[in-house]
Amino acid sequence: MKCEEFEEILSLYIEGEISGKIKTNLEKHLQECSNCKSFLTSMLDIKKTLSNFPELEVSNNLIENILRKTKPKKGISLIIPYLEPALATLAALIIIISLLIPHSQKIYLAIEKQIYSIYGEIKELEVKGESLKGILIGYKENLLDSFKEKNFILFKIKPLKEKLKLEEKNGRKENNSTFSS
Amino acid sequence: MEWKRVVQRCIDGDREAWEMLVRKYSKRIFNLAYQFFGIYEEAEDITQEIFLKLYKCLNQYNFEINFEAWLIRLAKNYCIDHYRKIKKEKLKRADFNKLEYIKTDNSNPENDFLMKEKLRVVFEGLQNLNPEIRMAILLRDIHGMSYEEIAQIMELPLGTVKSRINRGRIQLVKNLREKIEK
Repeated sequence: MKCEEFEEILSLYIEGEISGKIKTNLEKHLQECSNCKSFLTSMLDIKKTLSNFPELEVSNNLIENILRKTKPKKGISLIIPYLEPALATLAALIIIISLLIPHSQKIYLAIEKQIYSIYGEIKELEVKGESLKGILIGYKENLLDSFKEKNFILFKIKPLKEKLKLEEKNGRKENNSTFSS
Repeated sequence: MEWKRVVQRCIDGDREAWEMLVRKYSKRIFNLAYQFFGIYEEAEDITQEIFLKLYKCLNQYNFEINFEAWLIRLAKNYCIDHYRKIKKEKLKRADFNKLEYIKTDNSNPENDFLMKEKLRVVFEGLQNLNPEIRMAILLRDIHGMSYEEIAQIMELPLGTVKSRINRGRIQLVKNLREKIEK
């Protein structure tokens, strides 16, 4: 076994986690190798230094700060902090509802007034619609009359055009016979 | 004292129980933070933050597991996360040498100086370790916890914990030797 490999198990050795043949080989190697022995000494020294590491006292200021910053708000227990937003919303709703209850009659009257006002506007629109209907009927009749008139003119013009075309045709024929003779 | 009962009282909103819990565990958490970061003021701030976090999530505590192990796991997670956040800044500051706060038992000034010097060197070696390995060494060699307890706190298999502590110790010896050679 090489020194690096012994190094790898030294930590386990000082914890008493190695036994049997590996332990015997390691102890034999430690007697022969000054480098590994020195490595083991350093490791034990560090372990001892760390285990004797003094504990610091906590300042009262730190404890007071922790207690102050974790002081629960009035009426809310320690378990509740994560429910605070939901509870705040609920509280706000309760306050709004309780404020509105004494004025419920007034609110009802206001809504009723609004409904009547809308109903009046609808009736007004209906009347306007009726008068518009009469006007449109008048327009309709005028429009029909004008259409009839236009149709009449067209009726007159069309046969006239056909008559002119026929006369023109006959005229050409007469001319042709004159030249040929 | 049955601490689980105290925890239950805290959850129920008992202010006295909460104060008792803070007084009982703040020293342990503060020392862990100080050993991990090496800066007194930072350890105080971190302890405060850990307790604020504990206060908020105390109702999530599973009564089937050991409370102290649960709290140390919370502290360990906070310390490692915080270390990663401030790593660059911390490397620039590199002021983890405030060992004047530490009082040794030596009445002899020379021995006291040597003891503090040794502590300083080991402490600096610790700061150079990977944060997970450093935390495992702290829990094992300073806090004297068993490998099983550390595995529970670190949320790692037992073999991994043993291997990390082993690697950490080898690294500490090598760092110390390099210092002496310089």
